[in-house]
Amino acid sequence: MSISGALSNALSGLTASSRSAEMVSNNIANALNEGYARRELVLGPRSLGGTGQGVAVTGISRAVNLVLLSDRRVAQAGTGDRQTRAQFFTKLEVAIGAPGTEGALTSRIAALDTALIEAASRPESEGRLTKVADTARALAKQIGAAATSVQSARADADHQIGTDVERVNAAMSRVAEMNVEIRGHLSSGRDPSALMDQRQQLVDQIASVVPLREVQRDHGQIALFTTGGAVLVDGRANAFGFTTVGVVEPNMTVGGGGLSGLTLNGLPIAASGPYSTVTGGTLAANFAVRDELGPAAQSRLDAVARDLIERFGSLDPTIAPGNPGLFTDAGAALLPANELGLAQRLSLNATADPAQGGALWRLRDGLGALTPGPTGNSALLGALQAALTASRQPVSGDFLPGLRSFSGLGADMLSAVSTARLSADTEASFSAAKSEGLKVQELQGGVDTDREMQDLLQIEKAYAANAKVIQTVDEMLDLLLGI
Amino acid sequence: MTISSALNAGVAGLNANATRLATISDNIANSATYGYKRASTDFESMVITEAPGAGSYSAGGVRATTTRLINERGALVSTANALDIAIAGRGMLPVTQSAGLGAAIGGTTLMMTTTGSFNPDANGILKTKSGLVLLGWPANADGTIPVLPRDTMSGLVPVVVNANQQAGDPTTEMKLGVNLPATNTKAGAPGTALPLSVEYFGNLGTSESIGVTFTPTVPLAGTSNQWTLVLRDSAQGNAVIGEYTLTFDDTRGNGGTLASVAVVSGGAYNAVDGTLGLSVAGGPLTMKIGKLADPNGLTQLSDSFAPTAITKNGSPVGNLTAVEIDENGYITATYDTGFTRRLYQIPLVDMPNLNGLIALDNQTYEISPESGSFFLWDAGDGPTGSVVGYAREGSTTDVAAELTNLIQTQRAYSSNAKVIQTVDEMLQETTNIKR
Repeated sequence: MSISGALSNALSGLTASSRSAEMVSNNIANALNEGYARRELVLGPRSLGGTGQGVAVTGISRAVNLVLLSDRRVAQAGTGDRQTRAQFFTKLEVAIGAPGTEGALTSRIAALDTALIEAASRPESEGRLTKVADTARALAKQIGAAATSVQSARADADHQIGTDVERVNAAMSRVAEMNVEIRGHLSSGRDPSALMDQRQQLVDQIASVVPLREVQRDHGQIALFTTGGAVLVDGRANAFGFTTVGVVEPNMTVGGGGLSGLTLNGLPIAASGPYSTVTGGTLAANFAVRDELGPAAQSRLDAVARDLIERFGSLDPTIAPGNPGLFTDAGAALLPANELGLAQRLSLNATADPAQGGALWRLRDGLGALTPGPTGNSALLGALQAALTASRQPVSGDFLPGLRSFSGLGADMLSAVSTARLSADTEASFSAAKSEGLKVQELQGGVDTDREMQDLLQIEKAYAANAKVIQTVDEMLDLLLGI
Repeated sequence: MTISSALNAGVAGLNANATRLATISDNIANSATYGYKRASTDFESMVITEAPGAGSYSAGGVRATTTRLINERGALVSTANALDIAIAGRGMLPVTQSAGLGAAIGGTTLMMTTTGSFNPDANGILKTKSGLVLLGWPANADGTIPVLPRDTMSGLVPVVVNANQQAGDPTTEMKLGVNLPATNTKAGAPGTALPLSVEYFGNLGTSESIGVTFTPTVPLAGTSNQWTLVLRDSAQGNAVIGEYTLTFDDTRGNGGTLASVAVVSGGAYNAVDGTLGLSVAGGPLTMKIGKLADPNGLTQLSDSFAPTAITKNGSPVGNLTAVEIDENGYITATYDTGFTRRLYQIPLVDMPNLNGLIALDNQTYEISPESGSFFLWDAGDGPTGSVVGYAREGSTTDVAAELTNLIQTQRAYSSNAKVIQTVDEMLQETTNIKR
């Protein structure tokens, strides 16, 4: 009977309209939720045995721009990578100190220079000799502090890798579980959109650590690969392996033991460098800080420390062979084979340092002198000052060939760090701007409350029209029964 | 005698219209009963004597016969239960009474209905609230339906769906769509192997994996474009199940595609369809790596390792989540792993004369000598229509038409009563002649 058909059609229209209103309300409620993708009800004509039977809800579409999402994730990983590197250089630059600032390396060198000149002009003055000892000690400490901060940056990076690996492993296994849940939802005809939103947020967490590609698989599942090709999740979740250490010393490396490399499912993989499969996120950047940038900065500082020791090594005729000069490697003479970590061990010779039980007059009369000499002798102090400003080629540290005074060497090292910091900063801000731009584009595709309100108006009209059909059918039946 | 025949004809008219009223009331009472077929009353005149030219006429009256119009089809009404089944077109569903289930299947009677709302009971048997059990042909484990006799009900069994049923689906095919970084075969590259692990599902639904490593051959100078592919099976303690030397083309036309595949150990490479015939613990597994010069399999281009186009069949063991019926009458179970399996086929019963069926309670019908013998069709084949899930067949009663008939019947009834009253008055007149 067609009247009852009209009634059931109108009822299906009412159901569809109320479901649409539910969708709209959900969209509006999540308008400020970043990981939320706009949903829309997909309606289709319902047909039974070839005849139209009203409207049916055929599904729920979740509006996600996968290309944009993937670009944004890669950009986000790149930003993390650049920022980690820039932070390292900033930290190093601060530890060395910008020229002109109090406590900067170059100021310390200039202060020692001045103190030596002053002491040479009045070698009998205890105050001026004290100043030489103080500035020399401060210079040694400054170089040591810079090197310590390099190692602490390496330790921080190591710790950060551990945290990242743990977080990524947890997120990967959760993604694999959500894949199963989504597959179950889809195959039993339930709406998996909310689960997909959650999964997208999890993937975003991984994406800031390693740059990744998301590949759609059957039944709403996804597979995750790094852009370098390492498999993160494909069916089952893989796991990164890494062990953190408490303290990082200059001599600790992956190759030499002491530090952990990266494994994926138990197989070792390259964590940084051109053949790495995880390069481009904070994970690889932290590995670079720990294994490349940190050791490189340490070797520069070691080279500076060695240069300082060598400048003053052979000036003083009173020093017996094999004994250290004004600056020492933890009290001993320099052994070129032990250069690694020299910056931390650099110290003022104890025989001339009142703080370590030495005597100030040895600065004037020779570090190996047994008794004080004539108080007006400024020859050694003058030679020390000349050695500090003398031009020589540093023997290690990969400095460009060329003769430099010690202050020139310090400035060279600082300018190399500053240049690296500046270019890392530039890259970081470029990368941040790019990922921010992509994020804005992504959010533009999200919930637009104006549009939702417009949809809601249409839904209201459709609901009213369907209700009107029901009312009319009711009146028609009344007419029939009134005969 | 003419006047008494008129009285008899009037009484016969009353009876006939009362019968018609009964069918109308039954139709209206069942106007919302799913699967109800309208009953109709036909009137037939009776003739006692019809002598041409005779001076008198004897009224024979009327006789009512009722028929149930089983071949009429009601409109389909959609519902929310997957196993609410209706038929779009000719044909009926084979059912039986649940009371007769204990007897041997030959002893149960075949009944038919055009629509039913089936739900599993405590034993998983699909039945309606009125106790009708759905019958079907069980599928083999691989989803095929065996050949069974179609003119008897000997192959039909009650449909049983166990909610805690589990099923697995082993992997037999896999496609390895991987791009290898060409730069890794250049002189000076470190030559480290690129590892990959591809999950597959064993015969018992367990998750196993094939460990794949691609090791580049690094020459002293130039580029070798050569890789060693080693496959290991986790189900066999990571034993090597195949080792192949892959050489890639670097010519202009076919750059980056496979140039040759040399088997070091393991199954042969089939160049016609580009597959490796591997044997994993559970049996043979075909791994497609692409034909020679085919850009659609393994490639070696640029500097990125992209194992993104790996596909496989099979699924892990899943729990039953839904049972649905499709238009061909196949009852299909869906598992939460997305895998579907055919459980039963519901054939459609058809017979030459639908209206000759004997109507029983609960909108069911039974074969009678008048209906002719039945035949079990695949839904959609022959004269039968398709099976529709999520739907019921509405009653064929049209309330408006029945109300119109009701008015007619009422008029006819009162006219007959008027005839009786008139005959009575006329007989009274005759009686009053004698004082």
